[in-house]
Amino acid sequence: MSVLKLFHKHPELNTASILLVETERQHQDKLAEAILAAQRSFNVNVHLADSLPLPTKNEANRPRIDLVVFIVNHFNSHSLELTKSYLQHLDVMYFLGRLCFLVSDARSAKSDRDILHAVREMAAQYSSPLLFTELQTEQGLATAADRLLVFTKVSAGFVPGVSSLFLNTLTSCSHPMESSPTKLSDTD
Amino acid sequence: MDVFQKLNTASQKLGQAVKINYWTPADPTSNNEESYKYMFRLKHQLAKQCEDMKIRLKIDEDSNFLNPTSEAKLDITEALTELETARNQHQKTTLALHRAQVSSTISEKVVKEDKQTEAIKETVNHTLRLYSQILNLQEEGNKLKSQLREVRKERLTLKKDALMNMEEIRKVSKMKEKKVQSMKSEVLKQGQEYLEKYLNIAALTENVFQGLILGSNVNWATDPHLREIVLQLEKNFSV
Repeated sequence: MSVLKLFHKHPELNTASILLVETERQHQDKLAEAILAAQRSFNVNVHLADSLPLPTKNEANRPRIDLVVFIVNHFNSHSLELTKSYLQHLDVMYFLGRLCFLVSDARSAKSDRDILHAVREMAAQYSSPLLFTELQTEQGLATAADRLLVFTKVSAGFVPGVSSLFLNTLTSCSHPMESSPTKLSDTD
Repeated sequence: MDVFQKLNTASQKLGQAVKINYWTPADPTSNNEESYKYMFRLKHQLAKQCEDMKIRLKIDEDSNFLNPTSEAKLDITEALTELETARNQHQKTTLALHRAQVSSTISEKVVKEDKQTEAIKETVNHTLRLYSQILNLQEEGNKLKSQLREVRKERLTLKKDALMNMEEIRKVSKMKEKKVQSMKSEVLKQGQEYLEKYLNIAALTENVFQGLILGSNVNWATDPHLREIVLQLEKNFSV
């Protein structure tokens, strides 16, 4: 089973690479553009994929991936299942802070509360950060890109003294609570 | 002198570079390949990346990484809970800090009599009005709740009384029925006995009178009274 390994390639000078994985390819392109347009002091390579494992024929040309971002669609459960299966193809070292889950438009009416809950559970299980973003607007895209760049800076080692595991302890998702929302009416 | 000047400038630059060595904040403008800042930043980056790789190597050496012993597991869980508390603490303090910042800026703006002061004052007054409304409504709600509770209590007592009364009524009616039945049977029996007795007496006396009349050879057909007595036997007494 081909696994995306972290330390098998040399890092390039002043360059970081992000891998955006999304099963339905809705927001990847816009987010990639926003990342490239953001203000930064290092070079960024953004790779797009819709499934793992990545095809082996490009193996040689691909640089070392510093951050893997899974964009999960919480409007149907299909995407969540696929994402869980993709996680098997990642090297263990990615789970120590070089992995991030991203959810867009969590406030919309179409979202399924159970699936959102399940996504949070998954993020908490793998102790990875879960970002809630708004990828429909320009401002939202820019904000999401900035947040992702902070993660990439740390995981690529550009910030001395802060390792990716340190950032992970601050940003990892916690388990959502079990209770259902309490009704506001008084019980008689 | 030229050489010394060159040496002077070079040493000054070196001194500055050493000061900068502690960490250069990255800004996009200073990506000039030649500048010292860039060089030092690259150096820090490479050092950090080497550290990460060393950690990875260390994991391979440490056999306990993938299968921690039970004591290690306890340590791990302890460490995780400590981590959670530290994180929550950090988040709380950040929130408090933000709140303090916001309130200080608001108070500054209010003092400064800016364009936004009016808006701020309006919102604050509106908020206060809403709070007082909320308190009033809560009080009313509490009063209504207590009234409701009183009514329910009364209803409960009334129900209990009603149930008790029903029970009593049922008992009393049962007793009455029993009595009536027993009385009926008693009275009936006695009445029946008496009836039979007197019927027999009446029949006897009638038969005696008939015998008398017949035996005395009196013409009973002419006298209506005698006739009555003789023919009375034909009337059936239903017993």
